[in-house]
Amino acid sequence: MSRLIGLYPGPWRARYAAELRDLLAARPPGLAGRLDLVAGALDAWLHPELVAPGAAEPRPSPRVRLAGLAAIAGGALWLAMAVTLVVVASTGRDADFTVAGWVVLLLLTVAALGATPPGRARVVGAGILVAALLFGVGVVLPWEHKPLLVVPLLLVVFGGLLTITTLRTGLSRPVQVAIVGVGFGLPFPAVIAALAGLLPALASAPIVLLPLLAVYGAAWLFVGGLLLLDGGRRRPGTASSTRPTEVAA
Amino acid sequence: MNQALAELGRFAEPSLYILASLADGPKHGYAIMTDVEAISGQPLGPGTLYGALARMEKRGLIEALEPVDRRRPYRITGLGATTLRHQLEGLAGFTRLGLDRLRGASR
Repeated sequence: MSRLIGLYPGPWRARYAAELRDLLAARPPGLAGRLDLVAGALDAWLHPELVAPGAAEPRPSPRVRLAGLAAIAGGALWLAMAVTLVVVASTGRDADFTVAGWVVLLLLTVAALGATPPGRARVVGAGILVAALLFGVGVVLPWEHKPLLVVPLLLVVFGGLLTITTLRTGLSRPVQVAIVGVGFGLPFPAVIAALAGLLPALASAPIVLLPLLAVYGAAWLFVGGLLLLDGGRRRPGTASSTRPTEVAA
Repeated sequence: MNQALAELGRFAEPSLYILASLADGPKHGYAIMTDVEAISGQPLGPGTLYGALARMEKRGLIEALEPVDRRRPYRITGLGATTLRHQLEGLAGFTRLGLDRLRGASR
């Protein structure tokens, strides 16, 4: 139950989390109480001025804030691409998203690398490099063989980047799984299958693709916002609580 | 609604109940919650309770005392007591007016 307290911003938790945790232990909330907590967390994010500056936790490091900015920019550009794709497709025209797609990939890669703890950045960077090389091979392959390599790679790369970055948010593991599952695991395979012609009914109604594509961008905006505002600090009792907190000096 | 409470928006009503709860002495979060529920007859969610407490503390209507164990008591301030008194006197006047008119209409 106290995992819901993890939804509150860091300065707020520093001030009120202990007593709220004690209250929830004495009186576990029902569904209405849980929804009230979620609404309270949203309210706390919208009104950071309510908590005295002295209670604030240290600011996130520039590295983590850069990751948050890159995630927000990548998510916003992804959403813009999704809207444009659907609008253009509904008019029966074609559009080239090569440059925008690479910019999104670059921004999300920066977000994932920035969100990775320094000790593991080399491993993640090597994984991204291997994926990029395989992607390059896929691009020059004859068209009939492209989907075999490019589609699984897209799934691995876009899903992996979101997973790596979400792990840094400090949310509880079930919430992290929900973000990646709803943001990527459900819609992405359907979109790729539709674009590859495996789901013609979906591809023939481009507007249906919009919410599927949009949730991926929305997931990045949410994760990026958390990193930017909160620095992905560990939360007591969450899966990521063993990771050292990286904050600015 | 009193200006200090009206500024609290949707937290105005819970805040009024919280001030009334603290009028007879300091209480911690759990005690406030159960007392407010007894006064109002309605459940008070934990998110609403702490949203209201944060706003009231920020505006100087209540103040936090040193924690006892992990429970931090809150105390009504002079400003909070004045605000509560003005609000209750306003409500009492409104109640008298409304009841008088009802009695007049029933004659």
